[in-house]
Amino acid sequence: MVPNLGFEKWSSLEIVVMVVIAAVFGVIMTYGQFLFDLAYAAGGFWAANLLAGVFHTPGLMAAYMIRKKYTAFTTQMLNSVATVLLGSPTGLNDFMFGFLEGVGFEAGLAIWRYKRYDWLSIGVAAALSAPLSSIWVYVWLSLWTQPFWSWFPAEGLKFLYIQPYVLSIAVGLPKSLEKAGMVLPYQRGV
Amino acid sequence: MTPRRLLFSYEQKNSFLNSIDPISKLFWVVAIFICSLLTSHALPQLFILITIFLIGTFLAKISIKEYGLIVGLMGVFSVSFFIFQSLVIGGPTVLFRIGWLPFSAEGMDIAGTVALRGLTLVTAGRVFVGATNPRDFALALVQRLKVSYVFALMILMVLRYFPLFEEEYRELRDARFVRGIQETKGVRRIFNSMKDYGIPLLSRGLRRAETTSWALDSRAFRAFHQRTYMHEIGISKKGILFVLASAALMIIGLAMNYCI
Repeated sequence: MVPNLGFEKWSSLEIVVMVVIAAVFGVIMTYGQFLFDLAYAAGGFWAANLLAGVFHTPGLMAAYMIRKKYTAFTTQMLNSVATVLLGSPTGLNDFMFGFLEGVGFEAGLAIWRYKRYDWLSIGVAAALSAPLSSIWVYVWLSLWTQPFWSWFPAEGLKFLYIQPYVLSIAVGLPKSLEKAGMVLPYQRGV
Repeated sequence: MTPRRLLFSYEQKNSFLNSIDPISKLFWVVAIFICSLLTSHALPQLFILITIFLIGTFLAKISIKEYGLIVGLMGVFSVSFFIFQSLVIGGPTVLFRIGWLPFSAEGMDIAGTVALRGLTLVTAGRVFVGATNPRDFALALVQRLKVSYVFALMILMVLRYFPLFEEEYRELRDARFVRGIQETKGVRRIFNSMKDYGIPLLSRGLRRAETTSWALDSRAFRAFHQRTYMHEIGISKKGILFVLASAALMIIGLAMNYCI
């Protein structure tokens, strides 16, 4: 019933790293969602999407740190479970967003056959996840009932909006931790 | 930024919904999810929302206060969405005007549907999480839905990390206080907290990851394919009845939708 994600390929350490990232971002994203909702109240899709990048980060950060197939998807799904359990204001929608974003990440990383993990591959993976998450925004908010101009430009440019967050957090933060002396899972060769 | 203020924590209550199995409740939530997405008018959407609210209040014994902050904040989003989209969508039947801004029946119906949908999904999630023991949920995923036990264990580990984060948050906050760092206020505080506490929490969590992985390995984590369980999670008759009764209510909601 559930696709085999091949959990055996991850070491115990990598599994715990995925859990930690999912849990920390679960807390951050729950709060981020409040800001997102307030931004929406203030300025619609344009304002809200300025904060959207943070939701696309955990899976890619885990992928950058672990560098194995399906890491991004699994962490993003785990993170979506965490946000639901923490009480995200978007509730059950987070599962759908997590799933679609995870698929987008994997599609982006698969372009380089999971062999390249840098700002380019992570940026492309984030860019591919943006239109997929917009699909759920389209369904959830019944956007077909609304004028095209009111949502399409903001949703269409989301792939650009999210890049500063994704690149600074998913790539920049692990690099900073590395410089601070932390050994990342991929450096251990496990 | 303390998680517990927001946490939809499970509480062991002597309620009907607590007593039924997690899989039935999962089916219930998924049915609501689908039903809510299929509904295209505000009135049936309101009917579904009220149904869930009543189920939560009477069958899960969730108090108004417990719906609290989360549903309240979704309410802010819903109201702003409703006003904004009512104006954007428009329509020929103008009901009233605020200044020069027209509010039409058609626009309000569509905007109301989506705004109520948000509240419906959040309330359903609140009821589900509040009445479902996470351990039972994870076991049910493994035993009934054949999800990998590694993923189920990862869910349980995520839950285990939240109280640890809360403790570390307190330590960080006290350390910042002792060093005379002033907390900002309002919305900026949430934004700053995500940065000021998120990064230390992450780095400490990652540092601890190795010790945790040793603990997992020393307990023969993933050593055997066959696992035995102390708790077997079945699907109860009460659960099936609950799903059927809820399905009947959802069908009424959908019938209302197509009759309008």
